[in-house]
Amino acid sequence: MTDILLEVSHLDAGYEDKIVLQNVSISIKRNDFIGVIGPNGGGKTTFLKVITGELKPLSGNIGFYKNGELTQNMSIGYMSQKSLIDPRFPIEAGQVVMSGLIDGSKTIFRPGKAARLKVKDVMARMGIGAFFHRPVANLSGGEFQKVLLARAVVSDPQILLLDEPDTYLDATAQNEFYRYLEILNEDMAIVLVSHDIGMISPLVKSIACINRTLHYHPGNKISEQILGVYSCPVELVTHGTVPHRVLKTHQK
Amino acid sequence: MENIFSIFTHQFAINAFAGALLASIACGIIGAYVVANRLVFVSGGISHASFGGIGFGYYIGVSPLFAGTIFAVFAALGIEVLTSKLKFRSDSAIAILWSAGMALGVFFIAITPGYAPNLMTYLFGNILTITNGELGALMVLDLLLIAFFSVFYYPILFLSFDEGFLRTRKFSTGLLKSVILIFIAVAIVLNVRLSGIILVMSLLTIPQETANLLTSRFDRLILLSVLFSLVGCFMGLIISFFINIPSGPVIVLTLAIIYFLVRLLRVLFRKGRIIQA
Repeated sequence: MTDILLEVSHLDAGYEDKIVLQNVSISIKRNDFIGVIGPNGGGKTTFLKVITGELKPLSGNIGFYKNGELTQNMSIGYMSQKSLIDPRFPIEAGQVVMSGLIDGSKTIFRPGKAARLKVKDVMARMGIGAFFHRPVANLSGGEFQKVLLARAVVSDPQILLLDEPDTYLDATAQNEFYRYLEILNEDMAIVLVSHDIGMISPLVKSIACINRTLHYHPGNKISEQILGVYSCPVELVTHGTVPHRVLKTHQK
Repeated sequence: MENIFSIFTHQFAINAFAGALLASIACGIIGAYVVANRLVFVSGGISHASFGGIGFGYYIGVSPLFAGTIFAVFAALGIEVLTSKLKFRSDSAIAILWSAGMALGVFFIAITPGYAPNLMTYLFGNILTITNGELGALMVLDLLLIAFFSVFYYPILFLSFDEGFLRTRKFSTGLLKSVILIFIAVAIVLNVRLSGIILVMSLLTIPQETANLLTSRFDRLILLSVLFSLVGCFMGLIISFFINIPSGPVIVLTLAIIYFLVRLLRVLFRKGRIIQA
């Protein structure tokens, strides 16, 4: 039981006028790799916001654990959707990664030598060490994505949340990106939200389907029937020798 | 041609150059934030809304710039509340405060009995009439801005780049954003004397876009913006003295010419490098 990092039970969450998530329960353990799927507007991002503490739950419990004891300061890494960021913003890649070290407990943030070394080390391990002084406007899509991943992990989080990190990547960049995730998974639990269940299913260890509520599916194989039981309408893509795409049959 | 330095024998000219120096520092810093955060039209709205306050100041007999500052601050916070809390379309919210502010200003000036003030001064600026009190206020603003942006440089940078991410780090961004918005409002109104309500947007954007041609780092963007603004304002002032045309428009045109010159030089420099390689 000491492996548990996060325990969510009977959680309701949403915004002023509408409830988005109802009765969500899940526990996240060390070395978990959970793929989160579900339709748009089903509450995937809301779920992540509750875990980061950005959104207070309407009801239910959410507790973080360190060695089996409740703790207040769990280190969480978060990688946002790239589309929400202005790609022409005047900032260097190293500074972006540096922003992953800021935290709300102190308003004044002055990165010292240790912080700079930490940033350089993480960037080097991700193969983007040469980009420390590169303006983000001059990075390719794949490079930018790695910078955002470096920002998410520079604080050595125990839980890493990724919100559709693969949306704008081509196949080669995606494969490389997923390889980093497998290495990172040795040190931290990963929750990966994706619109492409076929791409992530070989990678993840279990699947959570979020559509108003959360269905947990142990294992990374999921069939259309199970998705139907979970009322989780997503596109299914299988992998074979010939690239092809299998779409769910339309109902109604 | 008259000696350039002879104009410095007049007190009003010394005040004008001091005003241009202080305004360049404020606009350079604030403008860098405005441009990087794509708040140019928000600041346009703030600037025009302040005219309501200027007219109101005339009507009740207090300093028009003081009343204008109050209106500008409320307009700045109003745009923020309308767009993020009440889900107004941001361009509509800006346009409403922009035009309503202008209308209020004209309304108050029309119902003020007696001699009507020269509106052109507020719309297009007249730095030659800057008072010692206004110079003092600009200097205080500059010192506060330099202190604030030095101490909170990284949070401001990170907030501008990706506010959502800072919130996931449990960093509350609301207060910081509001303080900067208030700084923007105050800086805009204190610069109305230099370039007027309509032209103040140019001081917040042209030097910054010029700087952005040469750097992609926020701190250098601030420093270069101040520099380009200073060069443009001084040259514009000198030219306006000699050709006897109001300083505001001449400064704006000078800033624009500097922008195109830097752009042209950059293209030539890049071409030269390619040929060398």
